[in-house]
Amino acid sequence: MEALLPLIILSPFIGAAIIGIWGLFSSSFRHQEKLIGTIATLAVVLPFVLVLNTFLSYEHGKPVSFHLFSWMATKNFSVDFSYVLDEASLLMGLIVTGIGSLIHIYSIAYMHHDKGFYRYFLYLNLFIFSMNNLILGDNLLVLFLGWEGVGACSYFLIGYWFEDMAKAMAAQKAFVANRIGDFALLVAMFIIFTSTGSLKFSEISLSGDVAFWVALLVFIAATGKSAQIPLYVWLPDAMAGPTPVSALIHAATMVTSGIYLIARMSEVFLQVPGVMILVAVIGGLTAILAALIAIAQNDIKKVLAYSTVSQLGFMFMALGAGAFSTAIFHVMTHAFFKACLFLGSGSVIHAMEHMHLVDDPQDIRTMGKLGKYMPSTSKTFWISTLAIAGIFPLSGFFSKDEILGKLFAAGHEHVMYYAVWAVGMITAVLTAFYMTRVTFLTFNGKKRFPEEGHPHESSPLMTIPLWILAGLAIVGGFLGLPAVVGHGHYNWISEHWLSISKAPIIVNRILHADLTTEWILIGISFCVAIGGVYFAYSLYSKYDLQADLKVKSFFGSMYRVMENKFFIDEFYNAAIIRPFVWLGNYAIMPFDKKFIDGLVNGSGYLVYSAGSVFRQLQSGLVQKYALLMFIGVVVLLGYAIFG
Amino acid sequence: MQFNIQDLIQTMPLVMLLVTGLLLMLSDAFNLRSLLPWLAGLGLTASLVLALPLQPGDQAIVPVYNNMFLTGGLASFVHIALCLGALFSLFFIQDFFQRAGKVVDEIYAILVFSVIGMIMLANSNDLAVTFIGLETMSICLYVMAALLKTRQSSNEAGLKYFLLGSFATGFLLFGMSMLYGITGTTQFTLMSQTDMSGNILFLPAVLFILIGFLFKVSAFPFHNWTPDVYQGTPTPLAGFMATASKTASFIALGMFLHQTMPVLDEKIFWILVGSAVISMVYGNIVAARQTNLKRLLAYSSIAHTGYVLLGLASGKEGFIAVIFYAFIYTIMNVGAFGLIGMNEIEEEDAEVSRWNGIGLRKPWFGVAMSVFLFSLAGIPPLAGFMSKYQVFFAAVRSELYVAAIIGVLASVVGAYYYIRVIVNMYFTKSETETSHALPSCAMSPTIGVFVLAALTLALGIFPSPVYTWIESLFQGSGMLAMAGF
Repeated sequence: MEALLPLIILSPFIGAAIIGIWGLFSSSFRHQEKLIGTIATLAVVLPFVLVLNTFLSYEHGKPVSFHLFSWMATKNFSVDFSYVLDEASLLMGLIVTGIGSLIHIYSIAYMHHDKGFYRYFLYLNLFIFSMNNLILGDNLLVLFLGWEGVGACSYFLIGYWFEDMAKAMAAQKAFVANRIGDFALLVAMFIIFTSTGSLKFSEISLSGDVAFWVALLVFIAATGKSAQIPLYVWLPDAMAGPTPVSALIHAATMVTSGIYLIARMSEVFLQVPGVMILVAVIGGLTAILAALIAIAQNDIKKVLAYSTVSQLGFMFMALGAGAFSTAIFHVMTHAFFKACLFLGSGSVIHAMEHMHLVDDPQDIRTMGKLGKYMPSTSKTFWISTLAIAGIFPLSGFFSKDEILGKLFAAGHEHVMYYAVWAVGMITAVLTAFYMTRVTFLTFNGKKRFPEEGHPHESSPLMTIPLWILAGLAIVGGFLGLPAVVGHGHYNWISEHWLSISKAPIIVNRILHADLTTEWILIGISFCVAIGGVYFAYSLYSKYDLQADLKVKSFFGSMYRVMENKFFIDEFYNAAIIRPFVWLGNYAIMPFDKKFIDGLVNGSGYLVYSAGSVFRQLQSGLVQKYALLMFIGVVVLLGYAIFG
Repeated sequence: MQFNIQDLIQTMPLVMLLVTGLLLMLSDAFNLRSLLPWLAGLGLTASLVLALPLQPGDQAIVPVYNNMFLTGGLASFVHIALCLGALFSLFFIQDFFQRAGKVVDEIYAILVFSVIGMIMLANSNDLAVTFIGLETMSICLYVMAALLKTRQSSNEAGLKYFLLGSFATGFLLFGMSMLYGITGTTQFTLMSQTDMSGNILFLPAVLFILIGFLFKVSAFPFHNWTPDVYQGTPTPLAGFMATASKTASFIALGMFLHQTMPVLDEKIFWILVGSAVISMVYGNIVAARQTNLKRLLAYSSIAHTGYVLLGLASGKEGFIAVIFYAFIYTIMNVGAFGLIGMNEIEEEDAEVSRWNGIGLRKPWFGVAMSVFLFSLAGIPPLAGFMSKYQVFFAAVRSELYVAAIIGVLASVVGAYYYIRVIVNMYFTKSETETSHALPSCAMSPTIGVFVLAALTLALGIFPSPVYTWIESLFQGSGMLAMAGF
C-alpha cells in the first residue's frame, strides 16, 4: 500500500491532465459528461481510499512520509516534493478528499448540460491536487505551491460563469485579497529560512523577535485565505461561482487552510502571547460582524457566506486561546454541516431556476414552503442548521462549546479572553437566530413564489451526498466529547488523536477549568442555542416575512448598516482602491509627461531648436526622454561624487 | 600579439555563427528565400551544440585572444542561452511577417549578427570587445525595431531607439575612455589589479559605464524608451529584444562590475539597489494602467529588470540567480510576445480588448498565454516562481531585507495586471468579432508555443538541473573566483 501513497498527490493531477488535454483538443469529448464526471470523481475517490487506509492503520507518533523528487537542490537552498501523513494532515486529508469526492458526485448532476462541463471538472481536480499539496507538504514551499494553486483554482471557479462583469470582478477581488496574504507568507518563509536554514515543519524552531514577526506574518497570510478582518471581503463575493464550489472551496476546505497553517505552527505562536490575543480578538470581531451582516441578507448564498466568515472567526478565537486542536475540531464539524448547507442551497437554487418563474433564484423572499416539494433537501438543511446553531447533541454543539470553554479558561492568562468569550456567546445567539430565519423562510412558512410553480426535488446524485453530510453533521461531534465526560478521556480529537504525548505536531496551551465552571458553561451554551432557534422559529412562524420588520425595528438605524455590510466595501474603495488608482492616474503616469514638459518649457531653447530635426516624429518625445536621462545622469553623478 | 590556432578552435561556436550570418546574406542574394529560416535555425543549433561542454568537468573559463574574450565554462553557458533565445524567437518570425504582408528576408542575417554581438558583449574581458559587441548588438536591434517600414510606429521606434541608444552609448564610451586613462589598460582582469581607490575619476568612470548598461536593460531612470520601442517593434522581435539583449547586458554588467571591483563600491551598490527598487515599483504600478499588451509587457519588463538588478547587487549567489532568472525570463517572455504576434495583423490587435474571450474561442491559445502570464506573475509551480524566489532569496541573504520585501510586495501587486489579461481572455465576451481569422495556426509558431509553455512548466517543477549547472560553473578557483565569486 505504501508504494501507492504518491497517488494521493498524483491521482487528481492525472485526472486533471486527462480531462484538460483531451478536452482541449477534442470537442466531442467535451460533451461526454458521464465519462468526464467518472474520471474526475475516481481521481478524488482514490486518494480518499488511500488516506482512509493510512488513517485506519496509523500508529501514533510514526508519521508516514513519501517523497516524489527534489524540487530545488542548490548549495544553500534545497527543498523536496515530499509529503507527510501525520495526525494533523491525515485529519485534514480525510476532510478534503472525502468531502471532495461527495462534491464531485453532486456536481455531475448539478453541472448537467453546462457548456464548460469539462473545464469545471478540470479546475475541480486541480483544486484537490493543490489542496493535497497544501495539507500534506512537509515543508512550507510545497505548502505555498498548494496555497497559490488553490487560490488560482478558486479564482477560475468564481469567474466560471463569466457572462456578467460583476462575477469577473469578484474573481479578481478574491485574487488580489489572497495575494496580500501570499505576500505575508512569502516574507515569513524568507525569515524562517534565514533563521533556521530549513523550511521543513519539523525543523522550524524560532524564538524572540523572529517568532513574533513570523507569527504575525503567518497570521496575516491566514486572514487572507481564511477570510478574516480586514481581508474577508472577497469571500461573500466569491459566491458568484457555482454552488458546489462554494461548498467545497469556500466553506469546507480552502478557507480553513489558514487555520490549519497556524495550527501546524502552534509552537511558534505559543511563544508570542501578544499575537495570540490579536488572533483571538480579530476572530471575535470577524465572527460578530459577519453574524450581524448575515441577519439582514436575503440572498440564501450570501447568508451562508457570511455565516462561513463568522464560523471561521470562531476557529480563530480557538487558535488565539491556544486551543489549536479545538480549532481543527471545529474545522471538521463545520466542514460537514456547512458543506451540507451549501449543497442544500444549491439544490434549492436548482429547483427555483427550473421553475423559470422568479427573477432571482437565490432570494429567500421568493421562496417559502419548499419543504413540501423537496423533502430530502429540507430535512438535511434543517439538520445542518440545528447543528451550526449548536443544538445538543448535534456536532456543532460540541465543537462550539469546546471553543467557548477554552476561551473562558484562557481568561486566566489574560482578561481579554473573557471579552472574546462574551463576544462569542453573543455571536452564538445571533448564529442560531439567522440560520433559523433563513431555513424557515426557505422551507417553511407561506409559499411566496407564483402559484403555478412546482419545484422538484433534485436527483439522487445530489440528495445522497446531502444525506451523508447530514449524517456526519449529526454524529461528528461525538469525536470530541466535552471534558465533563470522564475528565476529557472521551475527547477523541484533543485527548487521543492530536494529544501532545502521542504526537507533538500540534501543541496546545494547557487550559483547564474546574468541573462546576464547565457544567455552567455547557448549560449556557445549551440554553443559548435552544433559545436562539426557538425565538427565531416562533417569530417567523407567526409573522413570516413580516418578522424582518420586527428585527429591523429592534436594531433601529443599525439595521441599515448591517444591510449594507457595514459599508466595508465602500470604505475600502474610498480608502485603498481609489487612492491607488489615483496614484497611477495622476501621480505616476503623468510624471513623465507633466514633469518633463515643465522642464522642457522652462529650459526650452536648446531642446526646441534640436526639436526641428525630429519633426517627423508623431509625438516628439525623444528630446524629453533624452532630457530625463540626462537628469538621471546628473543626479547619479552628484550622488557618486558628493553623496 | 600572436595568432594562436588554439584560440580559433576555442571560439568555433562564434565562428560558426559568423559563417551562418554570411551564408544567410549570400542565400538572400541568390534568391534562396525559403531556405533562410532553416539555415538560420541550423546555424544557431550547430553553434549551440559546439558550445556544449564536452565532458562534465569542462567548467573552467578559458580566456582567448590575449585575454580579451572568454570561452568555456560560464561563457559557454551564456552562449547557449543566447542562441536558445534566438532559436525560440525564430519560431515566430516568418509567420508574423507573412501575415503583416511584408517580405523581410534580411531579418535572419540580422538576428544571427545580433546574437554574435550579444555573445561578444557578454563574454568579453576587455572594454574594446565590450564596446564592439554592444554596438553590433544595438545596431541590429535598431534595424529590427524599424523593420516594418509601412508602419509609422515601427519607424518611430527604430529612430527613437537609435537616437536614445546613441546618447546612452556616448556615456558608456566616455566612461570607458576615462577608465582606460586611469588604469592604462582595457582588460577587466588587469584593472582589478590596479589600485584605484584614491582616484577621484574612478567612480564617475564606472558610473558612466553603468549608465550605458542601465539604459540597455531599461532600468529606472533610463527606461523611457522601452514602451514606445517595444510597441513599435515587430512583435516577435520585441520579445527577442526584451530578453536576449537584456540577458547579454546583465551578464556583461555583472562580469564587469565584479571583475573590476572584487568588492563592490558602496555607492555603486546603492545606485544598483535604488534603481532596482524604483524600477520594480514604477514598472508594476504603471503596467497596471496599460491597455496595450505590448506596452504592458514593456512596463513589466522594467519591473523584471528591477528584480534582476537586485540580484546583481547580492553578490555571487545573486549573480547565479540572475543568470537563472534571465534564462527563465527569456523562455516565458519570448512565448508571451510570440503569442501576441500570432494574434496580430494590424497594430491595434495588441490592445487587451481585442483579446476578449479568446481563451474560449481558441482553448490551447488561452491556456498557453495563461501559463506565460502566471509564470511572469511568479505563481508556482511555473518557472517564473522559482527564478524570482531565488533572486529575492539571494537579496535576503545579502541582508537587503527592505529591498527584498518591497520587491515581493511589488511583484504581488504586479500579479494584478497579468491576471487582468486572463480576465479578458476568459471572463469577458468579445464585443467586436474580428474579420480576420486570428490567432494564426501556422505550424511553426504553434510548435514554438508548445515548446516554450512546456519548458515554462518543466523548469518550474524541475529547476534543479539548470540551476545546479550554473552553480557548478562558479565552483573551484578560476577567473570567477578571482573576481570575487
